[in-house]
This record gives sequence, structure tokens and C-alpha cells, in this order.
Amino acid sequence: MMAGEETSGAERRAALLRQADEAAQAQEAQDGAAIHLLLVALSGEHYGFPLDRVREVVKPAPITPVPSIPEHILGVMNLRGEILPVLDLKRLLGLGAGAPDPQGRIVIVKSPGMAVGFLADSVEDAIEVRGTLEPPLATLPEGQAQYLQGQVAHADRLVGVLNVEALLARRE
Amino acid sequence: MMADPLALEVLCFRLGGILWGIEAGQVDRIARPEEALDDPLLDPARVLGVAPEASLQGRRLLLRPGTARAILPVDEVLDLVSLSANDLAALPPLIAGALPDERIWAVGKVGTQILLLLDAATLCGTKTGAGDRAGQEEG
Repeated sequence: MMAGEETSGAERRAALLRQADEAAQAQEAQDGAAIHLLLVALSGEHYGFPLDRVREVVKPAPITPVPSIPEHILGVMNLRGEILPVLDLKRLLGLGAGAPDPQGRIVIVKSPGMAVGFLADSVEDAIEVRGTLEPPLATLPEGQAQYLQGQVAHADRLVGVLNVEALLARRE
Repeated sequence: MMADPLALEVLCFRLGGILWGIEAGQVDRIARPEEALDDPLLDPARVLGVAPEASLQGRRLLLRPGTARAILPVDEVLDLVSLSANDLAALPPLIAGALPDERIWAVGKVGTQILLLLDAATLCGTKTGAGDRAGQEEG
């Protein structure tokens, strides 16, 4: 094979890769950026934690209540020697009070300087959604919208994308 | 194995369905409910947010943090445990920030169980007027 043919082949591959990259970017711009979520169920509704904020999911362990703190903080749990606060996600979102049961799961979420557990009825799946975040619907339970970044469509239903910072900022 | 010289001796007790611990050095002694005592009586519902359960095993802890004195009724005295640094943890900031003061200053880890560690000095500074009167009447 001649040197000129080799150069031509390499150039052609490079050009094809550039085209493939441009096509992928164009497709992403058309479909919307990928949103990765951990899907949880609460009272039959679906919500998603941004997957990059999730450290792990554990089965409910004994939670020690701490008196004189707001009701949405269930207490503290001992996770392999690490003491973590556990929050009631249902109560935060105005969906009633959560209670640990065998089907339930605690989602451990990373936050700067700490980790926090959120009790959910169940954990469904890790999903990738393409699309844009829509503002929360006005029909959501009162006060819930402040804890959502927005909503995305997935499998013929709307998924509320949780705003971890807003959830952790609640004081009362 | 040698005892850890820095370990904390903690008296464990149950109150309102929760496990608590208090540094043994802050407890003068344990008294039965029928014993006449002169010191101010703390109301657990007001100072800790939990109500004692009616129990035959109920006891009273005579707290002596420094020069302060008070009586804390508890449901059951459980054990004296030694907690090393590995058995202690600070309260998560989310919890500490939600509490009105430092009456719960840390948590102790005993196996898979969690003890809420009380500071008797802070508790004695929060005794109630009603509790004082009750303590004097019973004393």
C-alpha cells in the first residue's frame, strides 16, 4: 500500500468520526439533554432523585427518633457506623406521613459535607430521560412545587425531579 | 485488652421509648420513685420532648453537673457502658441545627443501637417552675 493511500484512509476515518459526533450533538439538541434519575414511588406517584446525587440505597434500618425537631426529620440511623439523619420524603412533599416498612427504601443522598437519608415507599429504577424539564404542574399538592426542579415525561407519566437543596433547606 | 483511658462512662436509660445516655460523672445516684428528694424535678416532656411511660421499673436520676442539682425521672435504667472515640459521633448538622440547644451533644453507638447523649448541665439550666414545685412537694 502506498503512503498516500494510508493518509487518505486516516483522513476519511477522522472525517467520519467528526460527522458522527456532529450528528450525535444534533440529535441531542433535538431530543434534549439526557437526564439521569433514580425513580422512587411515593403514594403511587413517581419522583426522581438526580442520579449523580445518590450515594446508595438501603433497606430501612432502625431509626432513632430525636425529640424536639421538625416532624419531617424522622431521626438518625446507624449505617455501618455512620450516623445519618433520615428525612420523611412523603411529609416533605405533602403526601402524608411515611413509615418504614419492608418494601420501603432509604435513599442516601450526597450533600456538601454530609450525607442524608430519604425514606421512600419503594425504589423503582434508574432511568435516562431525554427532554426538557417542564415547570411543575399547578395541580400538585400545596407547597410541593418548591421542592421540585421540574417535571419530565417518562413512560406515559410525569416524574417530579427533586431539588435536593430545597429539601434539605426546610427548617420547620 | 487495656481499658481506654479516654473512654466515657455512660449511664444508659430508656425514656419515652428512646435510649438515652448521660455521663456517669454527672449522675450522683439512682433513686426509686417513692424516695423523698429535695432537688428540683425536671419535667421530661418539657426539657426533652418525651413523656415517661407508667412503669414499675421507673427510676429517678439525681443529676449533679458541677454545682447544679436536679432530678430526672426515667422509665428504666439499663446499663453502664464505656464509650471510646470510635463509639461516639457528633449529631448530624441537620439534626443539631434543628435542636433548641446542646442538651443532646452527641450520639453513642452500642452495637446497632443509638444512644442520644444528654448534657446534664444544659438540662439543669432548663428546669421548669412546675417541676420545681413538684420536686419540693415530693421532697
